[in-house]
Amino acid sequence: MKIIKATDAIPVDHPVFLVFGQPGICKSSLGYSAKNPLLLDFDKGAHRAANRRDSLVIDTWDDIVELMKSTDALKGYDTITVDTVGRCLDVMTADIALNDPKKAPGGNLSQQGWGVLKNRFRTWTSQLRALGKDVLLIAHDKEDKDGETRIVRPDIVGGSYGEVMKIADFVGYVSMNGRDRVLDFNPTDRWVGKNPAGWAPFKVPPVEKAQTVMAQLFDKGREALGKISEASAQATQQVEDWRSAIETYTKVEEFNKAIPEIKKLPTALQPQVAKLLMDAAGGHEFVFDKVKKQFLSPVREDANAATVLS
Amino acid sequence: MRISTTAIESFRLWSDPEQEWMDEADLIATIRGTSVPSHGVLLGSAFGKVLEAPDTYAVPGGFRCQDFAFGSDVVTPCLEVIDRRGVFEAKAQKTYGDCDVVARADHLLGLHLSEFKTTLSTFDAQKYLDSCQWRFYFDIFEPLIVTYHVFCLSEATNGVISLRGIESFNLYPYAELHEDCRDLVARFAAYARLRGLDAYLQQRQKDAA
Repeated sequence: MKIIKATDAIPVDHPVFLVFGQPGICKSSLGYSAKNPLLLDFDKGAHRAANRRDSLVIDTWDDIVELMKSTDALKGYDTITVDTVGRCLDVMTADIALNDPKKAPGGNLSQQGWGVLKNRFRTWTSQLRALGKDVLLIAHDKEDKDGETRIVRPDIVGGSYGEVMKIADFVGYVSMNGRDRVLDFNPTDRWVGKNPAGWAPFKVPPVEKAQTVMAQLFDKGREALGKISEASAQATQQVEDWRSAIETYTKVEEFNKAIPEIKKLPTALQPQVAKLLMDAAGGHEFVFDKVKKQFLSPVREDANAATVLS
Repeated sequence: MRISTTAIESFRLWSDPEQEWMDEADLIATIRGTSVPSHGVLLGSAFGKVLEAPDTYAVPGGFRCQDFAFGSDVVTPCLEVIDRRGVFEAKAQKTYGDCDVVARADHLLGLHLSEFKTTLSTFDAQKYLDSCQWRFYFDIFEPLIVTYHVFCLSEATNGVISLRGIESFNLYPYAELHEDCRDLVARFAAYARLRGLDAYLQQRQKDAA
């Protein structure tokens, strides 16, 4: 048992990647470039991939149920590639319609049905991560009109689009730029994305040389998320140290002495420590003078009375 | 000019050529701070206050804030997603050209900023993803993660509020985020000048100095 302290970083062992792009742009091949992948072939197009590795053709959700029951079946695979996540959700929808028809009258999900779909998808991906698998979701692209501009999003139906965007740690768009395939995780005004690692867009090597592209991205992504968590834990500790110090202040001079020190803090910490200082000063009835940029002691009525009497 | 991120987000929504629900008068009222809050906004504001200081609003069996009562079964699961060590309602500002943009973060913990939203409607992730609010949070507060916690509530005709679910998701900065914010502020400033709102916003800047 390992207790993670409140100010410790929490590692993200198994990030979820979503890669989307036009049909035929070798998304499945990218899927096979993950570490020891098993590709769940919902689209039945894996045979077209150039560097094909192990695949499981999925006809119905029962195939997934069977796969998840058999723990041995997933042993030896480090990555589960869902190709495509849009078709996966269709298959899941068909299963809900078959087994719980009230939630999908006429095959179309009711509001409750959408809730069931989202929960089942969320639970399934959580199970895969709990089994120690990286999860790569592949999606076709879809162009939406957004005002005067057109924006490309993953082709995922209805309410489940939000669920997929929620669980994906990284979202990248693969597109052709001249003769190059380019993978970009940055959201732009032309496509959606998620880029915790701050990666610049990069050329995807030709398929025959792209045997470990996703494996490397998963490792770098894990590292990036770990660094974010670590940096945030350190910052949390800094704020906690300030909180402890501020709690000992009783004199207005102590509050004023802290102001220039707080201004030296990194941008992200300044507002937090400033708020702690303001709240604590308020507790002592010290008032912040916006012109002087200093805290002032309250003028006490009894002190005034003493002056008058003397 | 001194501009809130709320005013800029309203401007962004109003500027969308496909939207028809927001009148320009509503936008101008938001910019001037004279808009009358809707029932949903009031509910969200009350719920936010309870999340920030539950002890202040605790009553037998739940919580009460302003005209709203929330059962423990509604509030407790929401409190569980919030790390109490964080700092609530921290303010910061950033200058873009001649405009100061001010923002208030619901919750900051280290380099992690959390924003609390309530909705009585169906959860729509795209609405939050499209928003400029989180982009300004990244640009102004410089966190490494922004997490939206969307508390999906329902309100019965008798006023009883229940919790339908909590939707949480992370967002991250990206390469052109600052440019996106800067360009939007420039468009907003041009609009404010066109509509003669600049004098009001400049006065606000002087008052805040």
